[in-house]
Amino acid sequence: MAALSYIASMSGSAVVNAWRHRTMTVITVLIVSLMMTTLGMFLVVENALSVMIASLEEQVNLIIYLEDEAPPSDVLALRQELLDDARTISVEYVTKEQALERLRASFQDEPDLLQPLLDNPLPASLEVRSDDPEFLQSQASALLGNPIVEDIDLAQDVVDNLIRISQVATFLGYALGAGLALVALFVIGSAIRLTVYARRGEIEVLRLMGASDHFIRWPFLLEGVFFGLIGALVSSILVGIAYIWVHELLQQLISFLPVSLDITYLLRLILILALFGIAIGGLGSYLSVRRFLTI
Amino acid sequence: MIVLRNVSKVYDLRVTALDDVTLSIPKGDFVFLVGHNGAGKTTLLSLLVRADQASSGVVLVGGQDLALLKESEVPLLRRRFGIVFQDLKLFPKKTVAENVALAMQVQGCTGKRAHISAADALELVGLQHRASFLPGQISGGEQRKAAIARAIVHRPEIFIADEPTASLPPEAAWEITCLLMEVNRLGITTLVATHDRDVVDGFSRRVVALDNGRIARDVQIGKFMENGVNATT
Repeated sequence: MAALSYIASMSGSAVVNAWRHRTMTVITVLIVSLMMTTLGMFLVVENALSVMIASLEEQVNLIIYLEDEAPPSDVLALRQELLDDARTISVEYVTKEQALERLRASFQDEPDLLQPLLDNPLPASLEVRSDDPEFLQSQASALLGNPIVEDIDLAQDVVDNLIRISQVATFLGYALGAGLALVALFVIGSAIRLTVYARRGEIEVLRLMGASDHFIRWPFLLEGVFFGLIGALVSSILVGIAYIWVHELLQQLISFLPVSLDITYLLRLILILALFGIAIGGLGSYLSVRRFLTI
Repeated sequence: MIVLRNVSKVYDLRVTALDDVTLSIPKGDFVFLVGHNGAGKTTLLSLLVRADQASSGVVLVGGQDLALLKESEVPLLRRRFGIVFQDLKLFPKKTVAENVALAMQVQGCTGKRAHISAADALELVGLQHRASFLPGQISGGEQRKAAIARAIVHRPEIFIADEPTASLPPEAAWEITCLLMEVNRLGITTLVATHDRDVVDGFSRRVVALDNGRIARDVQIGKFMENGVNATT
């Protein structure tokens, strides 16, 4: 109870100090918000790419087009062989008629385009799904010489490219995040240092009154945490708006992918930003207080 | 309560602020510490609260040798004191009540208790009607009363005041000194550094006079007056 009262008293003191030096508080919070919003934006973009990749990976990975004359027993044997491998998620047999149906469905707005087709030129196929790109690649190479296989379509290229973009975005995000974290540490540290400097007279008086190290240091530490927390709050609002906007944009641009708004992710993102803000604020002020407040 | 044995303080190996000072102040005593500027008054006070350390000699407070005190024990020593600084050092952005309550918070007393004690201390110095004012909004005399309230709110064992009547008109200086006597009557050992001749001469108390870092005189004011000499002469 006494500890709670002490923390409440220190927190109150920190908030009052932040209010009394509000110009510095506003500048610090703005810079921290900017830093955290940038970081949050990268996380949103990275998440959007991950969602797109996951969605694409759920689509067909490998299509094996079959010769029209392929004996059904051979086709069934090949299907079973693929299914027997643990890396295979599913194998779907698509008949020539089903393939034509799909084509018609995708051109339903322009049926005239398919009018000239007298015969069904589309081959039957096996659509193989797997979460192992190397397995699909090896299967594609091995099946090219198979007499019942007319052609192979490895739809992994798009996914691979997206994965590469995502990896670059993630790396850039983390690198930028680390850089911005350092900037935030410096900004919060400088703000606390200025506060310590502005209040050095008061600190001297407190020391002579018998104040403990904790009594003097805690308000500064909590002030840093307060800066980080308010910065996180501002950036959470901005990032939340950006997240909704990015998803609306993705849905418009790539309507064929099921990219839905994930509120759980959004809440997790806000929690991450809040914790990050608290950590950066606390660490920044701790380093500053430790260095500039010799007691 | 306070004992100094052959205490010297030398700054930068050249400037001697205190020179072989021996002094004993019993518990509950009231002492005026007088002397010109640079006589060593402030240095002596700073040694008592371990704001500085003696170059040689022994400083004892309540039987505790301050030279043997660990750094972590210094705050505990200082909490036994109530200090009125020469420039008061009230926190300008805190109200009078908050300034006084702060001394209780330093002692580890938070919340309502601190504010109740602050109100009591302000009443004792007759400043309860200024509790919600900022230091800049009250007169110089009232600021001194606020500083005294802050120094006694936690009922210290020792009260020290550095020039508490400096630049005050005679009436206000007299009132402040009466207040210091009240503090002493609470059983608090009181040490007042001053060079206000009227104040010292007006009260029959022990006077320790410092001159160039040495104790020039250590007598009751009555004896000065009997010889027709002012204490601060």
